[in-house]
Amino acid sequence: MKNRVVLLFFFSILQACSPQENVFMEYLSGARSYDIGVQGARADSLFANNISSQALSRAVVMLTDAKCSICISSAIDLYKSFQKAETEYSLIILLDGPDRETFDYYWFRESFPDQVKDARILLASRLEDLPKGIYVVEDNETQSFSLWTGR
Amino acid sequence: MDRSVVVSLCVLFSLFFGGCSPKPKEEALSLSTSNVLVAVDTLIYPVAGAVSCSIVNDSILVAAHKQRADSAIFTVYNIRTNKLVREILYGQDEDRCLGIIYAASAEGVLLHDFVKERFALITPERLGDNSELSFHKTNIHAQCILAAKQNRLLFLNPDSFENRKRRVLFSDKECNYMQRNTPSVDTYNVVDGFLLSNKDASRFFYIDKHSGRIELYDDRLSQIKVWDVPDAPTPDYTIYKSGKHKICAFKGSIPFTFIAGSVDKSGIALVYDPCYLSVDKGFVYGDTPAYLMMFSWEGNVKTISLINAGQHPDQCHVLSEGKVSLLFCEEHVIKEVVYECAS
Repeated sequence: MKNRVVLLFFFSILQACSPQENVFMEYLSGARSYDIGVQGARADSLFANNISSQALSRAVVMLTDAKCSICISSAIDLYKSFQKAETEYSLIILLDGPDRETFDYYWFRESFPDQVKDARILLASRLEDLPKGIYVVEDNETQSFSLWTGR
Repeated sequence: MDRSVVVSLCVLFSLFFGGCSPKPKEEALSLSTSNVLVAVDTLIYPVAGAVSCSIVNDSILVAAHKQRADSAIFTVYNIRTNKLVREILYGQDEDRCLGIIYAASAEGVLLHDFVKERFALITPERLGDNSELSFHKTNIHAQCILAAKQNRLLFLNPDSFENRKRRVLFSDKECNYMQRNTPSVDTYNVVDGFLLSNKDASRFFYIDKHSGRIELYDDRLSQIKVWDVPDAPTPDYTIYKSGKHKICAFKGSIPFTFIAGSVDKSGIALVYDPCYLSVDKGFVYGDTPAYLMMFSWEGNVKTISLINAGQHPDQCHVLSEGKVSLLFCEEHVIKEVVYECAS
């Protein structure tokens, strides 16, 4: 029951939004950002060194639950949007584990036939209470944080 | 008035009123603190990491576990022989599962792997052994699915939000369900409760997990009686858009009411433990303590007993000789506390 509770709660915090042309670009622009006090923070430290500072030169990092079906579905949606986006930023999907069994099941089921850009998918360890959502990072400095609110 | 008009009106009236199904009886439940459960025994089972559990056939403890790589996601433990009978590991391989919801009925324990969209039935005679399980695909996406007679599934209709559609449905014989119309709003996450059926499936209860509502149905899926717990937490909803879809979700903190339930020959037992779940505070319990409620299959309230303050059981079980037990999923064990039944 507790897992489903997490899933239900994730739903409860989502808010209504209008469909946009490219949601990746919208998150990148910070149009949906919230101030949770991470702006300006050093990103590799924020992600507990789960991502190297080199990888964080220009990146959109989605931190998501690796067991929650809806959370995984949103990561897949963001990735689809990233494939179509014209951007120099990379996409890093950081999974809050402890494993990626459920994530891989959904991810490889998609099979992504027209793959044009790869996302880096990493399993996190030692992450403590970092809010799940989308972080925009430039030169290893956190620019914005947004909650996933749908396509 | 023309005689033919009068006759036509009479026919129309009789058709209209004859076609209406009778309204179910509605009853408010009264929570008193006069009946208090008195513990008489405690038993410990070495089953770790369980998130939900049930005792089936008085001797088999089934449990769903936290999803951990290479760990059991579902176990069956014989409490008479103190032996682990079966374990299903978490994982992507064919013989493993990624997400399990189970439900017991007279037909057996139905395991629903909602990630892989398949189910397996452990029949009552197979509960005590480790025979190979056969998984079958299903397109049913529901919070509660029971094995019913004639190889069908009985399930909670995820579109039955606020009673707008039939609460409970039967699958076809291939264990699928063809939805006639795609609903405009996906209410799967807010329509959540459990179904408890009697032995010959002539009666079953629906119990809502997020309100004080209990409903009794007959074998034609007609509602016979409903109960509401006074002052039960009530959910608030919001609708958001995801692509072309609209999804209904809980707004703010999520109320929880009925935590678990079990059946015996004479009726059902339920754990009512109202609380709210929020992001910053976790589970928050109010002034109303937990209760054990028992109902007969005929639709009568048998007893409502207070559970000692501060206790939050995960399941209940009706024993013979006028006793009931409450089950607690703890980190390393499952604890069963046996109580004298209130009269």
